[in-house]
Amino acid sequence: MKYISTLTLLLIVCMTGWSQSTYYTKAGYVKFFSSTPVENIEAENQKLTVVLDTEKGKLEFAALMKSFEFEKPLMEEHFNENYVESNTYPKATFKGQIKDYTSIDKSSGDVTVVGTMKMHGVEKEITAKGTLKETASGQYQLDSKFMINPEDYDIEIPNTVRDNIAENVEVTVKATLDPLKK
Amino acid sequence: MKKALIAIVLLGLIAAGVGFYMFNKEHDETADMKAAFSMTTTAVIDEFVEDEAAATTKFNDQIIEVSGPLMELMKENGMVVGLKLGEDDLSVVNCSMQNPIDPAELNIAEGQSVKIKGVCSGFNSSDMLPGGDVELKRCTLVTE
Repeated sequence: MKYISTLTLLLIVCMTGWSQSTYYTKAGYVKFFSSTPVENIEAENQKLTVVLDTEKGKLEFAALMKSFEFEKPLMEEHFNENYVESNTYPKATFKGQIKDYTSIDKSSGDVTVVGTMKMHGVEKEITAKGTLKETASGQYQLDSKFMINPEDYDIEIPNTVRDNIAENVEVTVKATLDPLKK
Repeated sequence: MKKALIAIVLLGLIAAGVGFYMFNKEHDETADMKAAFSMTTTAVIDEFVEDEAAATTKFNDQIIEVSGPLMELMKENGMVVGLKLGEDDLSVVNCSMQNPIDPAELNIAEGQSVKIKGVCSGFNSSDMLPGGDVELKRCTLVTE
């Protein structure tokens, strides 16, 4: 009897330990912005999945390419069909590790994340800076802005629109993460 | 010769006009479009879970009408810009609205059944989480 209750207790401790270290959202915001003298192009996706393991400092993003919404349907069509080929490569993911996780400055929340971005079937190591703060309500607020170069992901921009699309595209990420209750 | 020149100029103008129209064309209002599929949140999620590739081919870029319990309203600047439908937070139908809705005009409580339609953009999941979501964009509420 005593053995069973100890086991149960151990199990509960394990389970709560696991759940408390995972924070997530399915309603993260990600925007990319390309700025050139010819035109500015932006697309927003408010359905970004973000998962954070607060024990190990692991961070993961997952976004569907088709969930990026453009103001003009023609741009959205070109983006999906000609550039990122979202029927073949439907998702973009980032799997990273927060640098020096155990010693991050809690007041500024400044973090550097190193990891692998996978997009258009191509994996590339990237480093992004941002902030990660624990809120009073027990959530984590994540903000980051970094640049990516479409060419790094073998995304070909035709010469006819080469002047319309920036060489470096700015990516903005905002997410409020809730603890996983399971 | 003169006639041919006029014809070429006219054709050029028409082509430019069509190009300009295509470039500036707005998104179709989902509210005015007919849904290709009508199903419950559970049914559409199950199809993706069972065979993601087949469901992606079947549903992507199609307008789907989905009914299920409201889980959460997503707000931005006080307006409703998205909603989640479903019973399990780890497996939901995740919708972004075509036009933001004033929450005062929404008479839905969490858990109450709602019907929405939107353009399917696929199934999103993470290796670090169980479950996954069906994502819809340019959604509109269906009221009968």
